[in-house]
Amino acid sequence: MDRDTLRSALEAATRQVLEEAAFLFTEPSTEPIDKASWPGSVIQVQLAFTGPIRGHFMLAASPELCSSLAVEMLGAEPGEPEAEAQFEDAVGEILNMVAGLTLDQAIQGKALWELGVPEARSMSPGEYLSGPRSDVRVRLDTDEEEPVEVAIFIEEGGR
Amino acid sequence: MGYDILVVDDSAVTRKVVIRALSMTGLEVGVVHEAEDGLEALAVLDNEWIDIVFADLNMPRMDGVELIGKMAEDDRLESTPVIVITSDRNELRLAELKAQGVRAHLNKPFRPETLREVMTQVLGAPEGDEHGS
Repeated sequence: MDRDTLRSALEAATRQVLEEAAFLFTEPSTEPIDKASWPGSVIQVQLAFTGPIRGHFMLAASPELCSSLAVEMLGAEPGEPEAEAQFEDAVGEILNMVAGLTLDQAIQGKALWELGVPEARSMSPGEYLSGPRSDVRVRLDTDEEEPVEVAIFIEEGGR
Repeated sequence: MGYDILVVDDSAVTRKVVIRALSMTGLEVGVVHEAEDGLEALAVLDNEWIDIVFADLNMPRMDGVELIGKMAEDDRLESTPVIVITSDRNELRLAELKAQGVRAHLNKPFRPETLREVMTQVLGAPEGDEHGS
């Protein structure tokens, strides 16, 4: 599968989902992610998929941004603790929607896919950057220049 | 008297998003029940009258496809409409679900207006509906 097509679909899907589900507007950025991109910890979410190809989607963002996503998705007041506490569930759902939309836009309904269950983990920026890096990767920056990185890791073989 | 609804999804956030969207449709919503998966949903359906079920597909213990199958096998539940809420936009899969009795589907993310349209399509236009003809 063409990497450029996947990357374009991933970027478009992520921007659309963030806007429609969480009212978060983003712009693509070519700046590389580094340790300074996230001053504190990073929330990394992964979601496996199988089909004609298999692999997993990944999304990384700060815990603060993930909490904001939860607040917006739930229509809660900013800073509401109960809403903010659901940030892992919220960002997992965001990635679930991104994966479905990306696969649909990239393949245009010509194949059946199975999506796994999102799994979230907190880590340091150093640990995140020392992990595997995909060439199908997009950085998006929010209005406040906070980065969100999404990527697709493709494994050899399919279903 | 509003529609009594069951929302089935393993994501608490998604269940709350659906419930919030239901409150914004302008339709009369009665009691909204929640379930984390198909097994919990069947327990609710065993004890409560439900006008419409919103169900995710990917869930632990019993997924949406199995839930739909169980409902179709039960004389008491086979006519209860199910709307699938999913990130999966594959037309082949959605056609399979329709063949199994799913009345409609909603792709995530969705707007309250779209939810209203789908519910109206499945349940018919409510009486005294300010948006109706």
